[in-house]
Amino acid sequence: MFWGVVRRELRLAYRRPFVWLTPLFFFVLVGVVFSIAVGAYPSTLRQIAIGVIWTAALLSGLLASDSLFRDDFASGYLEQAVASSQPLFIFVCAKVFVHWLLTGVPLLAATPLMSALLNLSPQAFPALLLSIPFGTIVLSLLAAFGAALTLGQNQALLLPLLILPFCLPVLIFAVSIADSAAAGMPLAAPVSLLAALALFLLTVLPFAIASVLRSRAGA
Amino acid sequence: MRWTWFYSLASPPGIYRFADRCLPWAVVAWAVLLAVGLYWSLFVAPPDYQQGDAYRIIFIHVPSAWMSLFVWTTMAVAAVIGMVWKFKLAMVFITAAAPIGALLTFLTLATGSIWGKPMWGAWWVWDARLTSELVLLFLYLGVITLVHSIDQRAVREPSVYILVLVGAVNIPIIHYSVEWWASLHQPASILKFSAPSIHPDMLKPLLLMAVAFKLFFFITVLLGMQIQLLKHKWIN
Repeated sequence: MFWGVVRRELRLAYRRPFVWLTPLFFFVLVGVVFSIAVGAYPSTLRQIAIGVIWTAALLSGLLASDSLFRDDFASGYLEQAVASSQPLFIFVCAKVFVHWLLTGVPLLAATPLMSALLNLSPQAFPALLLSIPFGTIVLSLLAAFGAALTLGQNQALLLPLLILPFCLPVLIFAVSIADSAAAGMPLAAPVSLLAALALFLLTVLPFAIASVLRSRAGA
Repeated sequence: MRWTWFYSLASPPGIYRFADRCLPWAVVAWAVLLAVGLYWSLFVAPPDYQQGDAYRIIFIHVPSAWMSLFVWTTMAVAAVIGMVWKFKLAMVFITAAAPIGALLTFLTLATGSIWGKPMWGAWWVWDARLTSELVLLFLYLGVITLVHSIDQRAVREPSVYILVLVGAVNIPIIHYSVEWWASLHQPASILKFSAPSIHPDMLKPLLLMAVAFKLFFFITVLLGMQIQLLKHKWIN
């Protein structure tokens, strides 16, 4: 079931590329907006680059995610997933995995561009590339949680309002990876903290999301 | 009297009558405790040897901080009860408790800020304890928003319960933040395994205030639940 859902979602995304390209453009655009807003001094930009890149990743990951289960809910696909004999959390894991593939991984492609725009220090660049996949797994999980909670609500800002507080730990650890690299400090501690957070949420949140979705589909 | 009277608290009329019967006593006890506690803490308790009289904000700050964590904990317990046994009163309790918790969290942050300005020289620092308490405020606001934005009861209840349970992860983080991270905020001086590192003359009024705050929560949450029950027309 896992790979079946993944294949279906990827085919859908292939046919509607703007759905996953929009967050990517948004990611770069937030970087541009920040650079212009703070005055585009190279030294200022270098100080805030890591924070801005992560804020942009956070916003692009969350703002577009309220539609994650919407089409499945409207078309009855979600009800079928709930009614099927397979456990629902596998469906949830597949949805989160595809969401991560389509919103988290493409950010890697845009990161060199963002680093150039924001004058990121060269030492921090590899660490930033390392932190993005781990951090965006957590963001995708939290986004799916928010999407399940706000399913059927027509308030676009409800999801970020509920989920942003939960995103602060991942933001802190992810930024500290690149920050320690820029300061020439060892990365083991922040990387393991972020990985631990990702693993913890990976074991807990799919079940929480599944039980919210079950109540939605039943109602 | 058999102890089965306890079961009646799980039904809307039962809890409504219980609230009616308790509230007058609770309000009197709260008023007395608050008056004695305030007088004791503001006039009788000795001034601090370093902070002088400015430390006295502790008698508001610490009880409200304890309660901000306690309220979420009770909400999490209610969420478990609501999820497992489908007691509809659990949702009534969470709906009534969340705004009170948000208020107490705000009070904690505000009094801490007022205390921090003369002592630390800053209204706010981005420190683990302060940040996690601020996150708690946003979590309360998120629960309040979610409660009011979903109309269908069958959808609202599980969503709110799960949000409360996931948010409960923050509670131990706030409590231990001062031990896990180097923090400007002082470590716990009362809730720890060794003897409290606060003088008994200050501890006694503090505990009195803590009980008064707990009664305040008890009173307001019962009133809030009565209002919810009347709104739902579960009570004639």
